[in-house]
Amino acid sequence: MLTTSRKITACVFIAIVLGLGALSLRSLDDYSPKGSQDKGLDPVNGELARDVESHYDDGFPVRELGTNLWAAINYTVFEEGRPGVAVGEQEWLFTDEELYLGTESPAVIDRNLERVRAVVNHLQAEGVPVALLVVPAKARLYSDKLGDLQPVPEMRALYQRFLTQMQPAPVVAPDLLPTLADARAQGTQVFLRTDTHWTPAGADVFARSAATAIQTAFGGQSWDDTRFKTSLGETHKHEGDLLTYLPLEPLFPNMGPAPDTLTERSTAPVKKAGTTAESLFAENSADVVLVGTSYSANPLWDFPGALKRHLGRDLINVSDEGQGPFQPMTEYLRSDEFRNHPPELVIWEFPERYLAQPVQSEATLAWFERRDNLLAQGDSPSRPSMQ
Amino acid sequence: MVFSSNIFLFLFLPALLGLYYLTPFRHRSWVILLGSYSFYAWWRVDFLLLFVAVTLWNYLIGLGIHRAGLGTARARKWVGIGVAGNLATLGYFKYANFGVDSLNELFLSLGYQPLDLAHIILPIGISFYIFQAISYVVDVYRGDTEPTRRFVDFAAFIALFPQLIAGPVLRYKDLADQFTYRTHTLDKFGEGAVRFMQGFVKKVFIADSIAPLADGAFALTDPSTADAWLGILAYTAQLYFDFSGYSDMAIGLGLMMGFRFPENFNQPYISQSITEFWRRWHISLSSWLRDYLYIPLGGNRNGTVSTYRNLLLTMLLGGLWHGANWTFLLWGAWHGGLLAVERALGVSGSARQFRVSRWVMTFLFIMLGWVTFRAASIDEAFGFYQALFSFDGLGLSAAYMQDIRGLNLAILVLAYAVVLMMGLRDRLQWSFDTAILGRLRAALPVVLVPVFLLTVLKLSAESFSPFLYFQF
Repeated sequence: MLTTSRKITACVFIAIVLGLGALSLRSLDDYSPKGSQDKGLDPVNGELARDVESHYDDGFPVRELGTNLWAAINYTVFEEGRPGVAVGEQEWLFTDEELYLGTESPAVIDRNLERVRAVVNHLQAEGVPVALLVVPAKARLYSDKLGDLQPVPEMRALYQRFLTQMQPAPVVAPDLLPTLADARAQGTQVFLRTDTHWTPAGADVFARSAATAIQTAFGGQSWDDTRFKTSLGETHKHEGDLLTYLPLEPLFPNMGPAPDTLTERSTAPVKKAGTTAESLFAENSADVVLVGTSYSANPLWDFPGALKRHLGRDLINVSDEGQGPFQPMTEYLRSDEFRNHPPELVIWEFPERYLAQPVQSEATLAWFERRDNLLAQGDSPSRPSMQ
Repeated sequence: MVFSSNIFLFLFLPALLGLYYLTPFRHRSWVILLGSYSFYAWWRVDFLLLFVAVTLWNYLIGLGIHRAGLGTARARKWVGIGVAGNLATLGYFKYANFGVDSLNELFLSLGYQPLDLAHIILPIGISFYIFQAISYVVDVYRGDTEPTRRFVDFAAFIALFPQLIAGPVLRYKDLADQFTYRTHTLDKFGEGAVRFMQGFVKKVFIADSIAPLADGAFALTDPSTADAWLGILAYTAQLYFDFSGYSDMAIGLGLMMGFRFPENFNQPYISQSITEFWRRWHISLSSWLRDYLYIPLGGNRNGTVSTYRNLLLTMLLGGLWHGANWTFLLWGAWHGGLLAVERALGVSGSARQFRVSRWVMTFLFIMLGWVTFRAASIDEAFGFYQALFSFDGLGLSAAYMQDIRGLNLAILVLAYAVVLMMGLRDRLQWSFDTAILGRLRAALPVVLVPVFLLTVLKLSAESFSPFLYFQF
């Protein structure tokens, strides 16, 4: 009996290995040795072998099946996704960056607060005022959807701490959380269920409240001299960025959270009667710059459009996706655009969770280091008085 | 290339076995040799030259010893040169960086300029193949085996890919006959397939699933007591399932080519003493250390004090064999010290009765040893010990919680259930009716094959993970 069992096992094993092996050969079909030469891969030190193996793994015939099946096991048995997502109740997903610190040490928050102040001081020294728009975490506004998930104490206190810390600084940092909370209470969905980001409606609520605070704080500047109109576009299903941590499709398309529904918006200036071609092609002199993250950079939410409409003024958007709030800001501060044409106002959109994340960009860290060195040498115009 | 990779399992293995079985028996050593060299060169082609040089060196030394005649002064000279050459190779590639770094620390503390040495790459598997080579020349010198007449058989033995990277540490005398004659049957192949699949599941399904729990705990700069205990429990299980999984795969692959390798693990975590642990854990290494180090040092033949010294020295060097770091020396000292204490107290290495208190105590000592084994530095190890015994509450820290998934914890529980069940079965000699046992063994593949397939899918879904013993 045992011998028969072993013989059958041998045949099954051989069939599995040969079957999958034969299917897997297709994944090597499109591997180009010339491409590896172009990449400068060395066949002697193993670089080429690793490249071939990586290519082979990427095209392995059951890779998708494995990914989907294990995602399904994790989601159904443990209500979990891949590291990076936190699964809440009623199909609400959250980024775990809103629940945990990005490093073991809470000192990361203090360091980032210093960096925010450094940016504000740098702009102030250049004579440019700043409006800091802190975007409250989705986990804060929808804490009832977290279920058993609990943000750590540092994350719970983060928003208030951020605003409080900004008080002594010469920066306008309005508290926009109540506005979003009120909107939610009145039935507006301000954040997407399967996405890290806000809804276009949430972005609009935030923009309206922010615009009011900015206009109040900077009354000396000209507002409401340009009219903008927001148009509603198509309503379609939106698969949020957090669904990428639940790779259930295509095998189990109905097992995970249903996609969100999103109505697109777009904002454009309202043409005044008698607009000429000349004025259409006139040089843009917006003088207000929006620096931010994907909350501002992604056109799906139309946040810059909503802000323009509520401010009644055009703005230049230099936001960037996937880089956090510091990198776009330091890139802008290093740019010729900033050096040659300092704006009247910088609006800095800053999701609160990034205060608890370490800065990864070498260039960004170098900018802060250089600034610290200048301060130490006493070369900075914003150096505190020694009196 | 590792066994737990798609490219090995679905390209290299079928190609090699296909070629192997299509080749007449007298030429199969060539297939093994060229296949094993390809397997090694997949990591780096340049270090294959070193590997070939070591093989050639030991082959010639073996012939030299034999020509000199057993027990002659010339033979002693030959074996001395052979072992010295092997140890010099191992010393340079494995310990030069460590030696220079340690010297530089001393120089800096004394205010001198540090030495400048280019970083030396550690050739993969060098600890294993050098030990095998040493065992060969010593066995030839002792007359335990004839030197091989066919270079290809010796080269194939040293390069034999199933054990090339992470053991078991084979001895030529145990395998020499199998190069001359071995059987190839579908039954044996099936036995090998079952063993390989068991090892694959142990490694990819269990060890890799537990790994984040261990890695997360040891990555913390300030772990809590709960973090540290969960982390070391996880590492203890991970190391066993990773390494014994590799050994199972090696034994299985050997069987597929007709070889029968010695067992390398025998339920080590059910041991009731450290002495017993070393009879059950990495058996091929502990046997090697006993036969080629402990006994030549004098073993227990020269009185109590020298016995303790030899135990300590053997385990210190055994620790250092695992890696060029003070942590491994400390780990070796810990085990050597415990072995000496057990010897002094007359603790049996093969207790018949199962006593829970002894088992718990032994398991605790083993776990405490793994802390230094896993830590990157002595400071880190002592920080971890501090966390283990500071008893600062039952809560896991947030930074650690972030890395923990339900699946990791579930597999950790499963791992310990397997360890306990298999260990108790071995310890308590649970006897089943022969007929029932036969049926159970025959039915094993019914469960194993689907789990193996599920594990293949898991491997495909996740990134590759190397074996822990690759660093040794």
